[in-house]
Amino acid sequence: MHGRVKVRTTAEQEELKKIERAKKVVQYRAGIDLIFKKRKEGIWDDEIFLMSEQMVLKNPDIYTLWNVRREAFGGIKWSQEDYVEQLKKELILTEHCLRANPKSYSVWHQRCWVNDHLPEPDWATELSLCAKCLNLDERNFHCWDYRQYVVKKAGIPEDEEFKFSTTKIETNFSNYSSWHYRSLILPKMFPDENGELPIREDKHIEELDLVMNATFTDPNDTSAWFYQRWLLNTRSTSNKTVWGIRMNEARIVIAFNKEVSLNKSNTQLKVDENLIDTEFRSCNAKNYTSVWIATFPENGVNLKRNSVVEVLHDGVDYQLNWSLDDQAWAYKSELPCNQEHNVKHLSTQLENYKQLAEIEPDNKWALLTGIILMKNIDAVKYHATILNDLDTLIRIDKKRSQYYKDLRSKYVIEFMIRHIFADKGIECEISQIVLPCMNLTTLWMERYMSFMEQINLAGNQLGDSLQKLCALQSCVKLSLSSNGIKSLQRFPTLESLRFLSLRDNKLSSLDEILDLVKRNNLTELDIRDNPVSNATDILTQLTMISPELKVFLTSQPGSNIDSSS
Amino acid sequence: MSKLMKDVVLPPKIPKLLIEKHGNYLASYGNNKDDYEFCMTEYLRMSGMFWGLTAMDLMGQLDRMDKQEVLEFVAKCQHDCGGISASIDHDPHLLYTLSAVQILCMYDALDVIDVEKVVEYVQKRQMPDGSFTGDIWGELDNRFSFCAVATLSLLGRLDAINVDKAVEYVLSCMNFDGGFGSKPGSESHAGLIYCCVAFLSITGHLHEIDADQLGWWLCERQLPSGGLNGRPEKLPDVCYSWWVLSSLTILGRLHWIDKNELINFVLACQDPETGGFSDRPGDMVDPFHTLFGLTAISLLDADSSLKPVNPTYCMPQYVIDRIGLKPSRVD
Repeated sequence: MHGRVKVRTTAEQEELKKIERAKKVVQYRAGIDLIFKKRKEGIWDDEIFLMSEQMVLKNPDIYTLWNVRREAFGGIKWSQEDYVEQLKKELILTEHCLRANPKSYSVWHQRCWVNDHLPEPDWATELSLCAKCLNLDERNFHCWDYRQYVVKKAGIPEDEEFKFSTTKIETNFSNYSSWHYRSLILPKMFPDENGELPIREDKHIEELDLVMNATFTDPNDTSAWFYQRWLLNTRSTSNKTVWGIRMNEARIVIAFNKEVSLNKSNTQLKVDENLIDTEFRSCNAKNYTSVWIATFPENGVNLKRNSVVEVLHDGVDYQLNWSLDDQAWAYKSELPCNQEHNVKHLSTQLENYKQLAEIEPDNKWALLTGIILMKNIDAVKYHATILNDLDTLIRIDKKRSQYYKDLRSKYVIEFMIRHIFADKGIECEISQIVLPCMNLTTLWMERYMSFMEQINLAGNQLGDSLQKLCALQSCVKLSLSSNGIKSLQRFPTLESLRFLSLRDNKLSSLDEILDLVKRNNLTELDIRDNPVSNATDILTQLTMISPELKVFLTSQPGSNIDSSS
Repeated sequence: MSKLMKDVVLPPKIPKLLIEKHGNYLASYGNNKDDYEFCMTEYLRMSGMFWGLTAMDLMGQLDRMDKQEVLEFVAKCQHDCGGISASIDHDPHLLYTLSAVQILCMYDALDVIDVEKVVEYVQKRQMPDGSFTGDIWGELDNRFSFCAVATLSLLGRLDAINVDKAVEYVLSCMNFDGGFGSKPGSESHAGLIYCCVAFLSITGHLHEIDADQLGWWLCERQLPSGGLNGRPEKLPDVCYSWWVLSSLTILGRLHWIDKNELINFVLACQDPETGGFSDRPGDMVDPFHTLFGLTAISLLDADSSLKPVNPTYCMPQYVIDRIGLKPSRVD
């Protein structure tokens, strides 16, 4: 029951309504019983048409009645002329129904069905019906869908629909449906050949201007801002699926630029031309993921320094080279990056939005667009400003503060990762990343940390992101101290991990600590300053599981994982 | 040019969760078979029963409902083709086939219908392009793709259809904003987004979604009143508390909305006199919005007396556990 206001009525009004409704119930029962009876008996006559017509006019959602009508069309032996006549009457009926209830799925479908059965449907009339209906409610998605049906059937060219969407938008910028329609047509008419921009570069500029005009006309209407975000969403250009591979005698780790599913038919490992039987497993037990591992049985692979090692994935051959730094065979490639487009134009827009943000300091949309523009123009140069503006958004758009915090975390991590990779170059081994006290609320691009051995994430808020650590397949030393972690339930099993600091968190479950130690082959574990550190017997129980494990329970001078890193 | 934002104002006094009243409202709904409202919604009875029964189960009051009557009714609605209709003498449809299977799973009573024939019926609805028609009359919609995989997975028979093709079709409906509509080219809508996200959760293809992009669009559904709308520039409605929240939960981004403000909005949509929830404060209540008000409270973990609900199936989590299903989520 959508949008029906509860009204207070007098006892008298209530009584009248009751009588009225009781009458309607009797009518409904009589009607539907008659129709179902005739249907069962196969009596297709005028009465079944008439009775069901009266009923669908009152309630067009009784889907079975439309089925009955369609059956009646097939059940009666018509002359071609009468058949067409009856179909045309059906069009009129659906139009009447739509006037009363323009959002009935059944009625719109019936109208399609009628057109599909008419020998010569009148598409021009149908199109003008759509226009009329959209004038009454420009957001009626049923009508927009019907329009697409008509356009397809009638073979209306895209540029005409493009004009239609422009007219609609110019009449009213606040029309999300029109912007949506535009996003469908433009990439078909003007595709970007490189696939980096949503549409061709010159058209991209035109659209950016159109949408800027819209956002300045009514900065508080949300529709155009979404369209703009789409326009500014450039795609990265990496054409290689695999980002990096590391392999030694014990195992192989492959990091992909996207989530993939590995199996024996799409991925093979060859050493000196010999196919190695490899069972790849995903780092998080999901079928599609970005880091895959395989362990070799002892003496499973015969590797020499000059061995030719290659991984074949999806028809691409990735050659591994012996890397002295890593003491492993490795394949390395650049980080995928976003190409710059229309920078000069974006910079002009940025100036305009900065002005808008000054005039309307509480307009979050102008700020957010400014951030995305800066990111597209030069993420490094604007890094500090971007973070500053995100802090403002966290303050002024409180409902979504967690969204902005996560976005901020992503930008920080991306900045740091790009920075260290750019700094060292791909030939160098990057063995560590230091990201302490950066207000990180989520992990991001963790697949690009999958070959790093030391990872410092201390002093952040990553308690809800533990499951993302599964990508850290080479990590030996990990600090997660002071992260407000309450539970380790989603902490993954990390084969290489030896030194783990969980100091100063909110861990209270001894079972979770025991489970963590069972699942991971740790040498040192720091759990100082957690409620659980005071649990009786904790040391005994941990020693029983792992006799060699060095546990830091109470603050004491001396070496520990955090300070030695 | 600037217009007022479409939203509502919450009443000054917002009641607590009125579990007992909601239980009474749903338990008595349909007691009078000649009730006007009840009669006029006969064409969706099976789903109506699913809404009411699920709500009662979440509130721990399922035993107040007449199980035997329900099971007999469901059995009578299965047709020779295997499909299940909304009501006796009405026609079979995927929408009501799913509702019926959900009800039977809740009661652990799938044996009252011919399961193999249901599988056959769903299988026959798949088109060569992977899409699903709702019934034999050819209407296409992603709602039906969801109904098909939800039904089959509950029956442990997802292998009966071409899942890859079905996934391909749903993905062809992805829009510029990362959302989904009912068909290729249809505008994004939170209800359809739920259907597609839940579909991808069941079929294990959530990685195809840009969870950040879609999650942003979904958290932007929250209005100053705290309520959620289903599309930009639309009014808030309790049912979107379900469609948006379940999607955000599956996408691992439930924390992107302000939970307390949403809880306030949902609680303000209760009718303290009759029980039940309405779409917006002050409107008429119905079982549909009553279920989605309660599931929202359950997902937000805002009242310990409600059982946890599964965001993919909109069924009590314990039922999904009993069947042994583990629909995927984004980390």
